[in-house]
Amino acid sequence: MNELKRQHIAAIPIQSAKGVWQIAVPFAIIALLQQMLFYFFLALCALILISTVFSWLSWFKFRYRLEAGELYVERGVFVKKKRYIQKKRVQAIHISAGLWQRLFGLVKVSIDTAGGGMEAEAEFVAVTRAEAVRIRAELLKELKEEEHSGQNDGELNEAQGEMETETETKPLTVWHLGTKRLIYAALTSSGIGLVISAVAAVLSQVGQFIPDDIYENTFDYVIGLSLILLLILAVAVLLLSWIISSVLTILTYGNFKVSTYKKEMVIERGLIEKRQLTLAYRRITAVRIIKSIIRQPFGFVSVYVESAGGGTNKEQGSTLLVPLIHERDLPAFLEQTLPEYVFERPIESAPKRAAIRFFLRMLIVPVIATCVASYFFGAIGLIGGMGVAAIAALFAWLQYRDAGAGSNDTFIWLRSRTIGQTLVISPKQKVQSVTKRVSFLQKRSKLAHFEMFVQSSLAGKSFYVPNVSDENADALFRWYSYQSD
Amino acid sequence: MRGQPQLRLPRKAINVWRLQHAIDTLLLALVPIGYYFAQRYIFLSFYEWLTWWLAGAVVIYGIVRIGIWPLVQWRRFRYEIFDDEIDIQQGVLVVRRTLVPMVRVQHVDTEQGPILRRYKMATVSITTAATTHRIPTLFLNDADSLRDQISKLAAVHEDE
Repeated sequence: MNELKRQHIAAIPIQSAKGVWQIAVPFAIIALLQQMLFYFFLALCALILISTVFSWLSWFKFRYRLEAGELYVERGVFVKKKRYIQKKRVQAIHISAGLWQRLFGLVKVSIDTAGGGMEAEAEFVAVTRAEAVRIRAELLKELKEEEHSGQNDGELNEAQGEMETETETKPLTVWHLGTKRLIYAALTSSGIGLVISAVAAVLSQVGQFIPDDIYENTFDYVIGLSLILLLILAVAVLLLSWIISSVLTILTYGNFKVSTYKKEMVIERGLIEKRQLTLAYRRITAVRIIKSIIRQPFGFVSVYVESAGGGTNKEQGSTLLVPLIHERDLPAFLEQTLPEYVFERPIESAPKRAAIRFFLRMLIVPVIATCVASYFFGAIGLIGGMGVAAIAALFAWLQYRDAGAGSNDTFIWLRSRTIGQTLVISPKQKVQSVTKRVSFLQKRSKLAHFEMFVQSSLAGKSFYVPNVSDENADALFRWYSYQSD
Repeated sequence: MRGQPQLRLPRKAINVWRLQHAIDTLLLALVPIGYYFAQRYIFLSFYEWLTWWLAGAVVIYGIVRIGIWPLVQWRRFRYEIFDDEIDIQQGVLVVRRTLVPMVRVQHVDTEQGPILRRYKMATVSITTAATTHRIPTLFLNDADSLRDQISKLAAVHEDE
């Protein structure tokens, strides 16, 4: 039985700096604008003091131990929490190094378990890389024992030691995103919208602190500008957002690398905050291939993986396996990383009679809006509304064309589109349940929605394909049935 | 499509649902009542006629929800427990047919709210790693034996 351990002592400044940073930045902006810097610095000193004391306490109270088969963690300043995590429950291990951790040359380790929900079950804020590797090796050792079950017991211990080092140094295959793909990914990232809304939010906040007369003068000035200048301004904002979003993408996905091992894969990424995720193959419940509308014309797709545990909140509980890859390179990539997922995927599309439903669904709102707009704004409203309706119609057509599904002995795949196209592939054993839905309108034209549920890191995830033919939905239903009738 | 599942819920379920739906209709009735008082005493500029429209909507909702809905719901709800899977069909406007393999069943519960307790009935809920499925308003004995049956079948499959 080994001793209880604490995290690296640098956990105190790291925790403390993080806390102070989060609280202080918004206040610093306000203080700067209200010219109360002196009070702000006083408050800052107090904040740093308090935060350091708390960080020290939580560091002091956080102790852990790796035993045969489980991780024991006790923590809690006021309420003591003790937790045992069995290694067979461990779903995924994230090793990441944020800005603060990198200052000290340390890493953060989060351990996800089945049923953990949003938060990691155990989180080490600051440990040395060697310790992180030890934790990971210890908790994933079970997998390696299985690999060695063929050998006799005498060799087992030795072999294990060997395996661990091997896992660290010799992956079976390595795949790099590469600079070219990274740049394409950055330029076509759809994060633009997000950045624009963030910029808008910041601007609206800043607006409160600007004196009224400046505001009014600027307003008059802007009104006085010509339309062309306003257009240029709008383009500039868009361009700026595009650049920011591209830079963010490069920082998040730089150094993207997927290494595969016998039973697990390791996904590494990040320029400033380095992340490393270890994911066991048997945890993977579905693979999603996404064609975003911006990337589709260039033939690029991105691939996500659903897994029981291990997903990141930023990606709605999924794991990004490839930010960007050309469609023609996809089979080769899957061959390397997920060989079971390489096979022909014939798709039975939604029948012709379903088309009308796709158009109705997309067009009802734009058509009503057009009527309203042309009532209020006359010809301009009519033209604008028609433009929107035309775009909606185009999407309706794409959605109709893309809806479809197929299956083979072990896998099922569903394809559908909202804006971007999604193809989700899942093995039968990983599908938790399926539902066929028929509304009373669909019944008349013999159509159905087919829906399947798989386990994901947050909860269950549902994927469905709309308006396939009744026979197709029945065929998929029979395919899923375990009952031999 | 293979035939519909064979089993149905007890007819008593219709009455229980009627009671449940009557309660949610009463809750909905708070909207026109609240509006009436607001219009009468606080916001004098609100339209008076809207009260009657809202009240009318609640009455229609009540008639459909209490009078017709439970009957269709009962007629539509069918289920069957096989050795390997659970087959449930349900829904009034949208008919949903769900398959839950025994291998995927994580646990089975029986649940009872205050209304079901009064009628000595219970709901069997079946949980997988991703979803929860319910067979509602069974008599207590049937619910218990159904729960045990599913749990036994699920345990058999876990060994694989």
